[in-house]
Amino acid sequence: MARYIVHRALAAIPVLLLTSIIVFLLMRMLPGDPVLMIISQAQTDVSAEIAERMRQEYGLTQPLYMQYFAWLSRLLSGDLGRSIISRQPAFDILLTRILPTAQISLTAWLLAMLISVPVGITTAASQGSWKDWLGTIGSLLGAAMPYFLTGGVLIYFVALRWRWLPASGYVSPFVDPVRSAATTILPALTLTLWLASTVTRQTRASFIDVLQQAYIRTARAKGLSETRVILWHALKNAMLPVVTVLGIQLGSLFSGAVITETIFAVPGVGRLMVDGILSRDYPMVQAVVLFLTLVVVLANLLVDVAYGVLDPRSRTT
Amino acid sequence: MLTRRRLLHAVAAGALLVPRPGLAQGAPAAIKKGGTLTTAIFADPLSFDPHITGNLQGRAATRAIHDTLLRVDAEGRLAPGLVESWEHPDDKTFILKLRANLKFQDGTVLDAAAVKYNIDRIRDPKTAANGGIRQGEIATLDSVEVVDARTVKLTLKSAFAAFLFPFTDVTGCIGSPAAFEKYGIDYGQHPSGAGPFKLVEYAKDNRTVLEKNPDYWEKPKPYLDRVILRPIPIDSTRLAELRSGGVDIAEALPLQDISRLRAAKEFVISEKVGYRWEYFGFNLADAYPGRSKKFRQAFQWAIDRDALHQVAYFGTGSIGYDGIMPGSPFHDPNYKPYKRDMDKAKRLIDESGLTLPIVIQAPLQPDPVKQRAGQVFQANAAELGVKVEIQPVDSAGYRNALNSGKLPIDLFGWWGYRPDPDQYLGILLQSTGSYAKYNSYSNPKMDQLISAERAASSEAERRKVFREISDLMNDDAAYVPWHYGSDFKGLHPKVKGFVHAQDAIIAFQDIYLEG
Repeated sequence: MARYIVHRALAAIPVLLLTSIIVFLLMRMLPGDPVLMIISQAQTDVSAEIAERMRQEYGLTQPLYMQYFAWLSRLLSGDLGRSIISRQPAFDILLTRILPTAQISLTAWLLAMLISVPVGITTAASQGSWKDWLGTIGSLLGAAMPYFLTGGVLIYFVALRWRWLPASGYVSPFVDPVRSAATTILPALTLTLWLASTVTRQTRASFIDVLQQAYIRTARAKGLSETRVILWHALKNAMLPVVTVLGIQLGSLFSGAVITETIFAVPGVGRLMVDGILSRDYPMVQAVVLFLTLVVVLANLLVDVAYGVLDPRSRTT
Repeated sequence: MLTRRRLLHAVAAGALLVPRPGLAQGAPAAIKKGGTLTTAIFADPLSFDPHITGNLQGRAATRAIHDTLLRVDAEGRLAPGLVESWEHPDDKTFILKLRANLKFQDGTVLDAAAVKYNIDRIRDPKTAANGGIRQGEIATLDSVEVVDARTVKLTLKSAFAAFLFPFTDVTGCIGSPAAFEKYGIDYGQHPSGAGPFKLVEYAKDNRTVLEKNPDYWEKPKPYLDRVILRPIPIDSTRLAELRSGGVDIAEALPLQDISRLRAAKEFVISEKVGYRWEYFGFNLADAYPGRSKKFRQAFQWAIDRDALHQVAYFGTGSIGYDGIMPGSPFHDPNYKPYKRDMDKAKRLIDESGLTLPIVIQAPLQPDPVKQRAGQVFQANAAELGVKVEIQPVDSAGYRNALNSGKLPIDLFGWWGYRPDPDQYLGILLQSTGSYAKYNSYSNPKMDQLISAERAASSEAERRKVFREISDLMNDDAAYVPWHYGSDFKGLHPKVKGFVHAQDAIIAFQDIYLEG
């Protein structure tokens, strides 16, 4: 297993490299550049000569391949460069953004798992019953509701009408754990609803398939209780596709956080990336994409390891 | 016959015609000191370096940390700030006299040498290369001289009556030279000014915390202990925070909710007219229909300014007919040269020399006000046989088209308030101005008028020239004005001392909390 993990880690390097090249080129293909955005903020007269000097300072007048290799060589020495828009080190900015996004995404992911697995099992085991219909309608509604609608409804009722939780903002758990939890719940719930809907449907489908297998009929024929059949015989096999979905969704949760971070004014990675793209802040976008690629690679690795735990047949030596 | 009833009606009607002055809460006899004010702002300040910071939020926080050399009074005229008095001995010289005993927050002295250091830094090409954007505001400056510890002499290349106005904003923020030397490019995260508040915490896109500067010169201000700025980009979330008591002030309230919010009793809505003006801009290059003056003039008569006022701005603000905003000493509230006349507009289109149908592309950012305005403009243009194709682009895409001189029509045209109209009209109308170049606009007569208002020796003389500039601008119709937008802020009733400034920047040192 250790050798497998090392092999997968090494295989991630070309993935990171290729992703960085694609993002680098895509950003340069977009019209405009960060100097234009700096000038537009000022609403004052900035001469073409000054603008050109800025571009030279930021390396934007060099050929594209030189710009990329300059970025790469800085990266290899641990320097992610400076945000062109705010002039702050990109690494410093990124570091402060990881915890809010991770906190909200992981909370949403755990909540989704805690909700979707039991609901999925219940609806699968009670196919055609009122429980099944309720679960199905609930998950369809959850999947259909866009983030901005869910977030808006939560803010209106929970923050504004009932005043149970704050409408926006973020507090670090290292500063105040209780307030941190309070600022995490609403954005996490916004993500949970959609994710739980997707995983519930997957869990239900997977369990229905497994519960029809011959060994399940044998287990029931032996007189085992339905609870024992589901938990001891069906669960492990039915969870394989569910684990795959959960793993994939963990990576996309970070991108889904873009909308929730904007709605709830959370200083996370998603919002940082969107702001960076809109302001053409090339170093910032490169840094964020590099980080997100690492997250996705890690998530896929965790899925593979989990597979190995659940299904010994898939373990590599 | 003038009866008492008629007189009372006339006074009431006259009061309605006076521009709404914006909330200005007077100070009671005893002001309660202390407390924390939390403000929901639209965007993150990004930097507190006065020579680099660009957006409104950055300027507001930077001014709270540094103060400014000069200020603007309620009539839109220069007032003392860190500078207690100034002289203008000839049309190219200004002598500034600083207040005594000014200190930066790092303990060093704010003197004439520090002022010279800051002005030199603005003009330094190295600052520009690192994102410095203020040099254009003092482009007329020839030299800065330290006369004595409190006196600075500014010599200009040419006469410019309004030269000092940029010093009422971040260009006039004075940072500690010692801090500039120590932090270099990172000064923006470690500012040291002489303003009412100092920066104690900054978390990008989360919060900026300012604490009172006990050595601030304008005693007994500031009254507050702390100011917290929270960037909340979504309008409805910002409003929810105000309504739930999460913040004490919320800026940039959603326009469609203003009439409903005014009726709400739990907070106060303050409006200040003349925060920005809107125009539709034409590109006069040969490749575009805007090359024809009559084509452009047709839109002065064709656009439905009443509909724009109601649809784009939900009836807030006021209709605009030139680029000089209410609140400026040069504004003329009776200047209303256009009333919608489609027959006249169509005659001008016929005389334009262009062949119908005319199709014109209009890249437009996803700004809700401008999108509504764009649709009204599109409908008005269609009545003339002009098809306007609105093309959604993001902010950078729009800027790229504008700056490259390839924007056929600018449906996004606007400028924020500046205390002197020259600060933006020069950029738009003078042939050497960047926006004039983008739009291929050049009129020697306009250049003469701009030079004349700069060289004028009295406010009355400048007013006369500005009226001529407005007439010529409208006749050339490179920019077709349509609106003066208001700035709206929501305040918790406990917030007192707030004066709604036309530039939308909150003077936190004036505010105190009650209850």
